[in-house]
Amino acid sequence: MNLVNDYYILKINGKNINRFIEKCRNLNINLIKISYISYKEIIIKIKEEDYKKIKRLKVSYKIKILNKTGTLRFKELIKYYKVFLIFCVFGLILLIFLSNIIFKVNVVSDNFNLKSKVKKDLDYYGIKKYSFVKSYNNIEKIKKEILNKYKNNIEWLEINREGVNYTIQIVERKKSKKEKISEYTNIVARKSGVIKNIFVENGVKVIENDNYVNKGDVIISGIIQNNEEVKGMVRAKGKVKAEVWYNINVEYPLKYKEKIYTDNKKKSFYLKIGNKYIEKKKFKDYSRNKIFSLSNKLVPFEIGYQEEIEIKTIEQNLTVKEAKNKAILKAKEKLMGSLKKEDYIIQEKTLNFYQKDSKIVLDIFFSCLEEIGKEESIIE
Amino acid sequence: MRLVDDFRNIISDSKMKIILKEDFINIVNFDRIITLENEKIIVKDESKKIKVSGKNLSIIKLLDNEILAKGCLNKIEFSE
Repeated sequence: MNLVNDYYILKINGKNINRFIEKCRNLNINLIKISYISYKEIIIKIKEEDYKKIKRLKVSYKIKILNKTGTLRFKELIKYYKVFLIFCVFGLILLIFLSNIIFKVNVVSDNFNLKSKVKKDLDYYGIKKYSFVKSYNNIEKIKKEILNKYKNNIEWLEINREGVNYTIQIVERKKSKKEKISEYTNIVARKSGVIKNIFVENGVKVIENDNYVNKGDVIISGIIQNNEEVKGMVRAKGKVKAEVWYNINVEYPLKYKEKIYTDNKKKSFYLKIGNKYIEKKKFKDYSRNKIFSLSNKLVPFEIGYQEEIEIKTIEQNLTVKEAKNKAILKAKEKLMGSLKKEDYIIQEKTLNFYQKDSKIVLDIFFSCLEEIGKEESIIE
Repeated sequence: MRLVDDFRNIISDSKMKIILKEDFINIVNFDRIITLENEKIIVKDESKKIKVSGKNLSIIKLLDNEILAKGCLNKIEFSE
């Protein structure tokens, strides 16, 4: 059974068209459709197998193929565009072939040695110029093997394919460089300041009290000397208290606003659609503490049980004096945050003070007594 | 069995049939064509001849067992 209708559409030209039809009938040619142009000219539609028979009538009648249908038309088109199609197929094959070739391998790393080592390994695994691109599984395998090989040196490695280029990004494993304190140390100044008290446990005190030291100056030496002759070396130990000066700049608003949580709490159910909460509000202003919630990324709403904690907002207009006091307090808190427990403020003085728009600006000088000793290795 | 026969008739209708409209005639399941001219078409069945007369009769379709003719139809004659 022929599923595709392969037909010829022919133009017949001759003196007696009826005779032509008669002859077709004698030759058992099925004329599927006949369209009359004139008494001398008709257009007929016949099957492929009948076309061979009709060729016999070519002597008496002029037969011209007007069109073909079905696979005949397809074959004709292929024949007509044969060269173009061959080039298209060839071009496509070439494109697929070239897009599967590696043209550039770029290894990105700050460490030149590591970069060249990884490059060699990539060469070994076939990730090199003018070789075929690798499959995802292959890439993952190569990545694993390289990472295993350099597990002490590489933190992270990524092989990215960008068209016909491969970019390999390497993040080097940074070894934590803990300062190894050697056997012999000095106690040096961590900050600049005036020495107030030195307690030596081990080593030699090289600076007296009330002397100014700069950051890095040796205070307790681990080198034991006698008449400029080194008698031995020890690990210096001790505590150095010094007066250190700070200049702190602080701003404080004259309008003060603070939110205070009250003890009023209420529990309630809520429904959240998008970013909006549907709930029975117990307080005017409150903070939400979710006890449990049911939600799913696929569902655009959430239900749950919550605790509402009432918030009260205090608004205060401060006088300049009040604001100044609060600013000094703030500066003190800021400074104490950077000091050790045993350190304290000796003295404070406001150096500069002015009002700028709705706030005040203060420059405050602080003098603190703090521990400034730091152990440092002796470079032999 | 009548149902089977009816069904068979629907699928493979082998009886001669004439469909006649104002300006065309379609004859199916005939045995052979005797005459095919501008003014008459004669086809033959097992038992009878059918003669279609008219003017400017032109064949639109001509298959083994089907003929479709268009033109000015005057007369259809049946004879033994």
